[in-house]
This record gives sequence, C-alpha cells and structure tokens, in this order.
Amino acid sequence: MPPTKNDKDEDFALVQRVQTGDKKAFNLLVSKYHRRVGRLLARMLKNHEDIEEVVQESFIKAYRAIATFRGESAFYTWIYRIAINSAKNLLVQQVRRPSTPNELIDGDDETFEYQQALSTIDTPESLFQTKQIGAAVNEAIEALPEELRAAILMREVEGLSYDEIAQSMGCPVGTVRSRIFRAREAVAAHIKPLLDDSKVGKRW
Amino acid sequence: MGDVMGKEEQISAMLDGELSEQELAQVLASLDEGDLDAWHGYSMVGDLIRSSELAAFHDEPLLKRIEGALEQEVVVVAPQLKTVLKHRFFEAFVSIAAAGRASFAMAAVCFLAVLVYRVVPLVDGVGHGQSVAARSAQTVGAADLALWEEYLIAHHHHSVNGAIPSWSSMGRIDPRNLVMIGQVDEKPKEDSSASDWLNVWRDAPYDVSVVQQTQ
Repeated sequence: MPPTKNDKDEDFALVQRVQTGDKKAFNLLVSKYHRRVGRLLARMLKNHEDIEEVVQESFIKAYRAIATFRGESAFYTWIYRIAINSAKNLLVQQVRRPSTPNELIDGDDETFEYQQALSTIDTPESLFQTKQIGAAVNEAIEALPEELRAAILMREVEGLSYDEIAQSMGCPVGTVRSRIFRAREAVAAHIKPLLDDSKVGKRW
Repeated sequence: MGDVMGKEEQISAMLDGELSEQELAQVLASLDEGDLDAWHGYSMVGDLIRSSELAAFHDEPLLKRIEGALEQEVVVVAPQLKTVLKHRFFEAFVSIAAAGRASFAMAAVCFLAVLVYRVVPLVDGVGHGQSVAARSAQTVGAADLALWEEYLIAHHHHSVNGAIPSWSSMGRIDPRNLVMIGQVDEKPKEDSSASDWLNVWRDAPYDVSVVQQTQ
C-alpha cells in the first residue's frame, strides 16, 4: 500500500522529508511533540530521569523505524505507542531489577519520600508556574480580535484544517493562514516574559 | 498557497502541515536559528492553548540531547531502502527462478531418460530387435506396446500431414490386429504409399501395411 496522507496527520509531509534523509525535519517533530510525550510518560513513570530517558529513547526508536511508517495513522499516535511500549519495558526491567546495596542503605522512608518528591514533575513551584502560564495564555486569547481568536481556537483546539476553517469563516485559505500566524505571534509575545523567567521555554 | 508569505508565516503554516511539498522543501533548506525559535514558540503556543500543564514538560536540554543522539544515527532514506529491497527481492526471485529452471531442466532430463529407456529401444528395432524384444517381454506388456505404437504412429502422422489428417491415426487399434515388434518379420517394405510418411522418420522395422489396415 503506498503512503497516504491521513486526514488528521498534519505531520505527514515532514515525515516524508525524514524518510528522504532530512534529519532536520525529524528534529522539528521532536520539538513539536516532546512535551506531549513527556506528559504521557509522566502518567506512567514517576521518576523525572526515567521520563527523560524514555522520551529520548522513544524518539530515537521512532527515527530508526521511520522508514516503516506509512502514514496509516497520525505520527503522534505512532510516537505515543512507541513511548508507551518503551515505558512498559522500563517498568518491567525495574520490577526485575534487584535493589542495590546503596539504595537499601539510603532507603529509609523519610529520605526516600523526599527524593521522590524532588524527582517528580509536579513540584509546587512547577504547579504554580503552570497556573501562571495558563492564566497568561487565557488572557492572550481573550485579548485577540474575534477573527484571530476564532481561527486559532478552531485550529489548535478543534484541530480543523485551513480549508475547513476557511469554509467555516467564509474567507480565503490565505486569510486563515495569516490570522493563525498573527494569533500565534500575539499569544507568544504575551507569554514570552513568563517563560523567560521560568525554567521552561528558554529557546524563545 | 499562491500568496506571498513571510518566512515566519511559512513556519506557522508548516507547523499545521499546510505547506506544499515545494514550499516545505524550500523552508527546510533555509532554516536558521530564528526559524527554529519561531517553530518552537508556535508549537508551544499550541500546546499551551490545549493544556497549560504542558509548559512543565518543555525541556530544552533534553531537546539538545535528542538532537545530539540523532546526529549519531545513520541517515534514514526510505525510498532507497525500498529500492534496495526491491532489488534484493528481484535478485532472490531470479535466483529462485533459476533454481526452478534447473529443477525443471533436471526433471525434463529425467523424463526424457525414462522415455528413451522405455520407448527408443522399442522403435529402434533394426539393429536391436532381439534385445528390445527381450526387454519388452520382461518389462512391457502387449497392451503397453500397442499404446506406444499407436502414439508414435499418430505423432508422426500429425507431424507430416498436419493436425487434421484425412484419417485419424488416433483411432483405437483392434487388439486382435495388434502388430507387435517381436512378432513381425523385419522385411523391407514394398508398399510405397504406406512408407511415404513413415520414411520421413526412418524405415519401419515391420510391415506397416498391416498397421494401416487396422485403422
């Protein structure tokens, strides 16, 4: 069966680029999905290092197997499956792995719980930052002109294509593209200071 | 997509999979740090609109590590892989076909050997009449001989006279009139009309007029 574009797979063109040897295209996919893969894994793994390890392992496995990806499912569902299987493998290994002497020595209840609390994603600080960022995003969306807000929400929340949004809004596709771009720029500008101050979003 | 787009607008459209193949190739070929920052920013905005908790999972050092690990990976080129696989499949197919041909050839040789062993001595009766008669007596019954005789006569008749003869040589021979190699005298033929078609092949070792009468 020849590769076909899944209606909902917006990444198909990038995947095809990766399949022709373009590593840069795969780095874009990593950047796009590493947060969602990380959140998925945080529901299975408690240790922050484990989550990072499995996120990295999942993307490397995906890259190695990208030649076999035929676009029958969306790329993100494919990478999710790889991530879940990798996490399961790690959990099985951890169950089988005997405790090391150091772990037993340092493993009194109080110390152990403290280390666990430090290693999890949901620290009070991160929860506060998340709440702040969420509020900032909502403010930014509310501040958008109606046509920009509608366009970005239809795209990001409903997952509609530009064609579908254009039909819904009764405007050309080029206008939709421009509105979504301007909405992204406006939201990014609004939350950038918050992200610069926090440990996240250092790249921009 | 005919409108002129700025680079960052193109990055935004690329995030949504809304660039044409040509545009995508152009954008990817000219990506710089600023474009990458735009990509990271737009993709993060999308994540944060869907769920603000995703901000906690943005991990720049991890991205750098994955990028570094990917650089160590062999470049994936799926179409070439397919070509290689197709080529290998073709080679495998050819070798299997060659093996098949060899097997077929061996089978054909064996079949011909059996045929020669069973048939040629029977018809090549001039020089080996006695041995053929003796062998046929041991291994071939009268009915077998009659069938082979019938087959060979019909075969030569078809070869010389065409597929639609004036009379059917494949008509059944009355067993009472069977001409057996060991039973007939090996005398030269004098019936030219009968030897017209048989002599194309070789002289019949027996009186073919008897055979023709049976048809």
